[in-house]
Amino acid sequence: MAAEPSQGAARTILLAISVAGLFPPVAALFEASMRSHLLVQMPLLAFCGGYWVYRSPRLKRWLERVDPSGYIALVVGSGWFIYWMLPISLDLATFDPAIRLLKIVTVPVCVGAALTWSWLRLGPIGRGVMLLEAWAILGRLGWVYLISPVQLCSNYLIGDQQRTGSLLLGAALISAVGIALWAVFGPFRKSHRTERE
Amino acid sequence: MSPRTAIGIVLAGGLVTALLWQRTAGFSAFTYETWRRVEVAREPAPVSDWRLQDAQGDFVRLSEWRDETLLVGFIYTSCPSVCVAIGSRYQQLQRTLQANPSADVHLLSISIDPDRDTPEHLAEYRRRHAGLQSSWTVARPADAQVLGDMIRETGLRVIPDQLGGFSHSESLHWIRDGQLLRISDWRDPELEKMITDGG
Repeated sequence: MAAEPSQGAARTILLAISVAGLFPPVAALFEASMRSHLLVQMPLLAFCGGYWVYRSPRLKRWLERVDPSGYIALVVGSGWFIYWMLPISLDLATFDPAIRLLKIVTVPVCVGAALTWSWLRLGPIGRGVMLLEAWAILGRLGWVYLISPVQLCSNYLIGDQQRTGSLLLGAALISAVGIALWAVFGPFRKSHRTERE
Repeated sequence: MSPRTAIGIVLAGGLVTALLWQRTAGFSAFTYETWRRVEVAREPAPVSDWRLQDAQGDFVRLSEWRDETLLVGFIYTSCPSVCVAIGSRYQQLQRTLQANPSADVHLLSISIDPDRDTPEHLAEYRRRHAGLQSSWTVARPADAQVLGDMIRETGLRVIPDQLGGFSHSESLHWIRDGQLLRISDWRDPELEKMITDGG
């Protein structure tokens, strides 16, 4: 099944965005502040992986064979998500080229793609748990970054850390509203349930 | 759930746990600074024989303190905050050293801003903290090469702050015979005891 031309182009662009993070000027741009590193580059990389799963029938067929329930992808995705939330990982990615490469590979594949696949496979309850957990992580991390009196990343100043914390809490607040709306109007209505149930 | 899925979940969970375990040194280090401490405690790191210039303008090498354990802190003299606190801490530790003449520990403050920290500035920093030449050396790396070696070998991180200064590691480094043996927090109340125990 050949990809449509537009889809191929989109894939090339997303791949280019991910790999560009390895080139020093682009890496410097993304990693210049904690905010752009954690809140721009990381979500962008994860999105690239997620889009790949979403649009590639071949990858979906493979995943269907390997992990039909989406649970394995959920475990892998959550583990790597936690990994990249650790201040030490963020720090190392800014000055250790091996860890930077690890980021460029694992954030799209092991976070973005894995979590997207499990999202596609999970029913409404599983999705609810995923959303609440993601929301809780945003809140906890934002809170820690905001109130911590010590600089947690050796490469980012404490002011940057606190602003990142505020932005994470803001994202948590927005997603809380989103989740509430979703819970009321979304998947629990029968017509929205997936065909698997 | 099929047995295959169950096995897959257990395997994936095990691998992910191992990954996090490895990264955080057994769930004990979540920041780079603590990770650095855990790593050195597990396996001492070799350091080269740094060439330094002290507050008198004389050139010295680490190997000149062969029979002593060095307690090394990194500072810069125009630093308004933590370097002042580390200076006061060294002042306290110096009193411990005076009370225990047998302790073979020598205090060493090394500037990470060698361009601005001339020997006069270094001497002024030591005077400000009532430092004694006999037990406390304030110095700067002899050249940019030494500064790079120091940063690389200790894993120190130094980044410019927005006030024209630096944000840098506040830890103290125990060095003996060309080996970085341990990294301590300058606030650690055990430092006095470690000094009387000879580092």
